Amino acid sequence: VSPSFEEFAAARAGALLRYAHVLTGDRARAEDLVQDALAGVYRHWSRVGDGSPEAYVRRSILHGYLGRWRRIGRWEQYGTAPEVAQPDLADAAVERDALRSALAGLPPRMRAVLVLRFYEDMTEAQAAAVLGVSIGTVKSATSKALAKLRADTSLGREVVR
Amino acid sequence: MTDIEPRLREVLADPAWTLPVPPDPAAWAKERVARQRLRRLLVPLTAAGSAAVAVAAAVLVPAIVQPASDDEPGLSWQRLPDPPLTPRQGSVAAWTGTEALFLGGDPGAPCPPTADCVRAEPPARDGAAYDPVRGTWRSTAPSPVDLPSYAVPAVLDDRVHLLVADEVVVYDASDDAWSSLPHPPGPVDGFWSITAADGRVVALRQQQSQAWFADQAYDPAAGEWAPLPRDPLVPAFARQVTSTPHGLVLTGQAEVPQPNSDRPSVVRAAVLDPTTEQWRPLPDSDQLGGPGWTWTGRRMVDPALGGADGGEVNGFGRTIPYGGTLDPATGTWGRLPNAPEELTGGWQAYAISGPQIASGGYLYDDAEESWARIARPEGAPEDPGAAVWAGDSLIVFGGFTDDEGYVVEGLSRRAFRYGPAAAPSPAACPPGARCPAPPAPDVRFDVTVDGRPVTSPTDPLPLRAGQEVEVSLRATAPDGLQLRSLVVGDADGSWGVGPEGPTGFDQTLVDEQEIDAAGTSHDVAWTPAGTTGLRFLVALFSAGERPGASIGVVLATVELRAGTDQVLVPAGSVAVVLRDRTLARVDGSGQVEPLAQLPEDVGEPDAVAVDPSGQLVLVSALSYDDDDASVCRAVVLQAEAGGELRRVADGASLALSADGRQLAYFRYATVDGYCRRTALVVRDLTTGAESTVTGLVDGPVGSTPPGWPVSWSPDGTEIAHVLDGAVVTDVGTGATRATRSFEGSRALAPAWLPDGTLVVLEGCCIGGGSVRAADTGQEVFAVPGPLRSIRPGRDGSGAWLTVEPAGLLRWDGRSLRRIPVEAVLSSG
Repeated sequence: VSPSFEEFAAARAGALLRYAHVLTGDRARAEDLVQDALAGVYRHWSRVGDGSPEAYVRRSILHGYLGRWRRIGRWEQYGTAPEVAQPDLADAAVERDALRSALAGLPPRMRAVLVLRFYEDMTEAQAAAVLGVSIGTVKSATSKALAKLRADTSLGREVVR
Repeated sequence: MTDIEPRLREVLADPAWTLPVPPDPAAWAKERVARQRLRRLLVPLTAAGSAAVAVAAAVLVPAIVQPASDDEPGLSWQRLPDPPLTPRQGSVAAWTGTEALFLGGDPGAPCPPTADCVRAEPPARDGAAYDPVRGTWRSTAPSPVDLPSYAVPAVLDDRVHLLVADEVVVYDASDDAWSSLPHPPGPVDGFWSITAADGRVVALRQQQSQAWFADQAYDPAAGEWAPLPRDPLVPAFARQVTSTPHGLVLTGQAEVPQPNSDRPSVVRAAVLDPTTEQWRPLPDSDQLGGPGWTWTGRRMVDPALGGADGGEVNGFGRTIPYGGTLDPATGTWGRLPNAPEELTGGWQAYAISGPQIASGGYLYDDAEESWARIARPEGAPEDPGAAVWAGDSLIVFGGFTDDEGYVVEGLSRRAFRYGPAAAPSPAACPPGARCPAPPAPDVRFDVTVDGRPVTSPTDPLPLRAGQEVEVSLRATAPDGLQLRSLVVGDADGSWGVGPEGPTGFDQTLVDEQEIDAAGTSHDVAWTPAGTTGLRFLVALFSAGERPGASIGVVLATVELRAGTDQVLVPAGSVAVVLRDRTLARVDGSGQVEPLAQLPEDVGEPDAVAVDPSGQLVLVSALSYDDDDASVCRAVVLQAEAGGELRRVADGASLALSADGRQLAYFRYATVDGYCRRTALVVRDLTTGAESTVTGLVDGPVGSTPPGWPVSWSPDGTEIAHVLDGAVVTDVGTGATRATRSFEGSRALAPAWLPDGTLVVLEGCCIGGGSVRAADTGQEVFAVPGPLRSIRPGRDGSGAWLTVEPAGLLRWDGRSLRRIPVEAVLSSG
């Protein structure tokens, strides 16, 4: 038996919020996108509910994130970084912070590719399908994004504004 | 250095990304639906008090669409009732002689051109049939197999044959039932196409080369497939057959060793002699072939426009057309007469059947040898879905528009008919039939709720829950439109006026009997059901003499609020940025006065300000390069007369001092590969003198509310911005001091309240945030939702706030009140 929209929303809102948060790095934006995506699936529940509403919602979140980028033109950065550079990369926590800051420094499409590949564990083909781009584009975006993360974190500097 | 991937996975898996879940996620989502619905359905009113309401297309069933000027004279588009199908593109379209069938199709997100898409959703199996005489739709029995958009139907009488996967499925429209035929003998490899010809289903190999397999024909009377004779066109591809009075004509494009290397792949043809049952080859053509041929009654036509020259390398040396004509009796090929240029056509609905040809955005009449451009009907998607000729009308269903990106929301479920404008008038419409409604009527209303005139149905009127209010309605409608009832829909968005009439309304304030008795002027008492959320007052009308309501018009929206909230009329001017990026001023009576529209390339506005005179209105915005986020552009704009905007500075996060004489803003530039705040600048608006208060500002970034807000102290001597708490900079000396740290949560925006308290917004999002004193951390007040901006009140007290998705709040020092303005940013 297919779940009702209420059951689906109650069961999956947490995971969807987390996904949107990882994707956007911004809590308010994440909540906005999830609310919008859930509203979308609610409107189409009669046909989506029997299929895979979660895939539908996740795709809406992703395209909401990428689609609104140009119009909103806003840089997103997650959390806080120390005010002064902390080059002690031996400290794993600092290293994670550096990586997180570097992640926040990526353009949205690069970040989206990384989230799909390394958070959603999608194959290149799956990520390409969800993003509506070619597999080659996913490959090159992944490669560029990882290179940028390596460069930013290996310099041992924090990302500050 | 360790490899980055495992570390990245670890960071992405960090529990810190987990967010609190709203108590009732479904209700949370429905609230958004209600607001979206409000925005979509309603048309802003013009005259205060007495309002002309254009009926939103979404509630019309169905509407006549204005014919476009460049259409064929006498032909026009008409919006049909929506079929009982979900939005989709590419259904299988077929005409049985009495019904236009749309079967299956693709309900998933459209694939962008040149993209390599994996279908996330399987093709649909349901379908609908339109009866153009009765003007009604019915659902068809679901297919036993997925029906992809590329399946081509072969129609024999009432039976539609489709070769899908490893069988031929058959829909019998008279029985509304599916059956199947065996796959034609030969390889089951997907390289077959079927066509109806001469009472048989002909299955062709799409390509024939050295590995030759016999084409087949299925005779329903015999109940079996029989091979067709080997044709003389082998090797060939894009093979198809066309039924003509001269016999079955096989066409195919010549297979050449290397395409374009020495000769083009021109179309060749052969005729199946009815007496000898042998193929007779015709002379080769000088055309490259388009998507299909049709017999127009005088010759065969392939209506594809344009041509190809083979490219620069080994080209043909000339342009060879794609389409053309063929007389199979004489073997004479010809050019398309009077053919327009390729890519000059209108709406690209494609359907060819006998003499009726819609292709390339044109309607081609082979008898007159004339082309008429097909205009896109109003309300239709950019890319039409499946199309089929039904008698003298072209019926189009579905399609998509890529405005929203290639997402399912861009799909359409609308249907349109192109043909002679013979829509029955409402009076002539027989009872029980679904007939077109008249064009959007000019209905006029005077509506007051609780004594307040409704000037715009888009602005929710705040009402206290449980409070009985008086609703006053005076309506005048043109002849032919009759008010039937006044009803209420709640915020779950499930109400509306569909093909079956009104549904989902939960309260009736004035019913038909009362209207029959008292006409269209009513004063009724209404106690809205429920405790919170939106309620919509809807007037239902019927057209002509038809029973039942067919048009709904939203008259007013109220927002129920618990407690004692009431409308607060703003004292003094406040500048706002509305949801649609309009820069506007809110005057003392709460009226919104639009000043200018922010251009798309300006990016997201992050601050707005107005001086005490109310005359100087400024807005700042920061935009980033789409591909390189290290490149950003900041601009401060001033609203000028006539809706113009003038750039006054390169900066963002602006703030005006309380006296309106000093402007502060951040400068931005790319530093070390990032867009950073490089200076806090103050400009004296009286003298024009500009000074840098402090240089490069490092530190954490709060991205909500937008930008990196700053606030002036009431006396104009200090400016605050946020790091992990507030940082206060002395304007004269540049010296800074930090307030309490809000480590562990987030400090998002400062606001220096007029009483001298420096507050910081802490947290955000679901459940709201807290506005706390920057020095003590003590909560001053709580904010009920995700907050976008906070600004000190310019009238000497409190603050103005905007919350997601678009709401304006006033903190007067004691309580928080909502102002019915859809603002995303506000000044003090």
